[in-house]
Amino acid sequence: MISQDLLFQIKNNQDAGNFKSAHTICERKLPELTDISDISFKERKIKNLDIFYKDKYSNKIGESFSPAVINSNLMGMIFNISALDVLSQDSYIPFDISKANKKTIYTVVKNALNHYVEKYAPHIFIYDWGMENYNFYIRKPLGTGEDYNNYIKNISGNSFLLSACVSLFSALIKKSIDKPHIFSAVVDNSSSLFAIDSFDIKKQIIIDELKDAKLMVVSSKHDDKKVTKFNDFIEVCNHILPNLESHIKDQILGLGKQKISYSVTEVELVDNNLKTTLVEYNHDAIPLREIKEVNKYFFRNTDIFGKQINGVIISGIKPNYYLPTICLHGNVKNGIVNFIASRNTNDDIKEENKKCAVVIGVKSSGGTYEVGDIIYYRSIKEK
Amino acid sequence: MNPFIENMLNPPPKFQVGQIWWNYELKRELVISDTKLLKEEKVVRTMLIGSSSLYNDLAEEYDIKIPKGDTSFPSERTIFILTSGPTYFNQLNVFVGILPQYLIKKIINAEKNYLQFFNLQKNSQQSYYLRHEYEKLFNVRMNAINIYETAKRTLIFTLDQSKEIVKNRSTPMVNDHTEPYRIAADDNDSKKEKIEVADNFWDLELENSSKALEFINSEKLVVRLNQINDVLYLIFYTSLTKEIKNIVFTFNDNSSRSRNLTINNKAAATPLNEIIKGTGEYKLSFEIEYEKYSFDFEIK
Repeated sequence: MISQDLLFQIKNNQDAGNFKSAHTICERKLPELTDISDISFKERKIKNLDIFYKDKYSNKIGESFSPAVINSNLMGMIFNISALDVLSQDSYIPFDISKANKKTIYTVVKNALNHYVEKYAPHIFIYDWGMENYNFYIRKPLGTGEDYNNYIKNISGNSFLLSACVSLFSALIKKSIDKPHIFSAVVDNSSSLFAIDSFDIKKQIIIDELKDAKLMVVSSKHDDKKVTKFNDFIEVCNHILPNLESHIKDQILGLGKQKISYSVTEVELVDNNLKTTLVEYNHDAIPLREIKEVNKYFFRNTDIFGKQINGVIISGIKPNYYLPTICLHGNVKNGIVNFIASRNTNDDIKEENKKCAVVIGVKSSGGTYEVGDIIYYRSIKEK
Repeated sequence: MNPFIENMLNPPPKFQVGQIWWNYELKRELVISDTKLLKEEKVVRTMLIGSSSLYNDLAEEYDIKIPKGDTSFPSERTIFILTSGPTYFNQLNVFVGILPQYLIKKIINAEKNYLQFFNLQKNSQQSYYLRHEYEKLFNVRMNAINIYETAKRTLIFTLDQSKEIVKNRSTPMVNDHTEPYRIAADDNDSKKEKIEVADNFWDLELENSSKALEFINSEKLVVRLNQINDVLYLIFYTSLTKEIKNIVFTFNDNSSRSRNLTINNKAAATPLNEIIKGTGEYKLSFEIEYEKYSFDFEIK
């Protein structure tokens, strides 16, 4: 007969989601069993614990893991933090995060997202990621008991912050983490990582559950060669999300809630058949709080105007104050190779597919056009 | 294929908030608004959907409009949230369709704030015009409440282990055949949930085993009656076979036959709440590998 003490240890670990630890007890501590009911228990338990373990650590988009210490018995456990923009199901327990911590998470994640989009898809700027639609939850792992809430209700401290940032980043970038990394670090608004409490207990539970302490991602302030250390959130993302560049390039149009982008196409001037360049912006309504960031996006991309030797037509920018902002930028103002014109939709000749623009700047001398010239163009395929 | 017929022929494997079902008794569509009590008590909460667009004018500001084109309904319809109440899951008869996500959010929100909306309801003409619907709904609600109460009731049977266990080769009379209710199919998540439920069940079985009525306890076969979550179960542990056949309970010359049990992980169980309904002397018999076993026992 299996002792009550061993049954309790197995149940306690299983209820906390420490499935590998429970499995280890079953394999190592259960004596040579003779009762058919005990043999059945052991075989079933090991098989089910493996199913629960795989289910817990199957990486889903918008999820990551963080270690915690149960204060009552100093037992370690690993819990899941999920960032979801839909209403939770039964297995998701709302995770109450303070306003200050939420603000930090949003700042850190937004900075990282903008960093990667600027790096890998500079022609696009996502000025609204829809972060406010996301809430944080703790996913109750399959196989834990009805008292799982009791295990997580005493989670305190801010070491979950790194994990919450990772979950939200994963949700917004629509990519899951490559391995079941376990995150434990405090993060501040500048994305720097700081040390955590109860490091040894947390490290031990990761060794017990995942066998590889290197999967624990912490601040570099921990002097321990067995864990993976980083200084800031971007470094963490680089490590846990390989192929981020190709993912962003492939998925960029589907990311974020509101964005601005431009396309560059060749068009033909009606009067002289000269091939010229149309830079066409596409965007939703830009909120006032984003004006500065959107201007920075325009300034980052000013080189597209200077390269166009046969002139350039700008289209699609609203409201109108953005156009002078762009044209007054030194790179644009001093870099006009031929002319720069602004789209004028009011005077299009639709029946002839002629689109209108007004020249608003020309090169300093020797050009064909003058400021104020009306030009008509059409797309080359419409010719 | 017509979406109504397609939905009717392909009901989802599990009940979820936002699903629309036809109820034969009401001859109306109900939308599921809460499934918290589904697992244990077999009861869900539902709200009534107006039977046609003519009912839309009765909607209060808190009622939920289903715009035309968002479901398989041919016209705009209204969900009357004050009709929210319990429904026995067996009374969700024909699957009609599912609401889009944004309406499911509204349903959950309405369920959450039901009391607030209820208190808002003053001089509503809605209840006057819908009174015949409410009368029919009352029967559906009461049925669900009875089911709920039955599911929560504690079994009053006490197991008596004083009877001598007898093994013989008698062949009992069989005049009844019971099959448990089954949902036609299950998805991957549902399979995992079943593993979780089964794991918990067998843990409890072992925990409660000291109080069980044991018929056989040998190296290769354990047979006992055990009470788990207030329900009496017939439990088998064995390495002798993959199937227990011809399980028959006899009480007052009436016999009930349970379905054959497949052994998984060297164990199998079947609930007896439909078989053992009162105190008295019972006879249990079953067959393992062509050998018949029979036992008399008493439920006090």
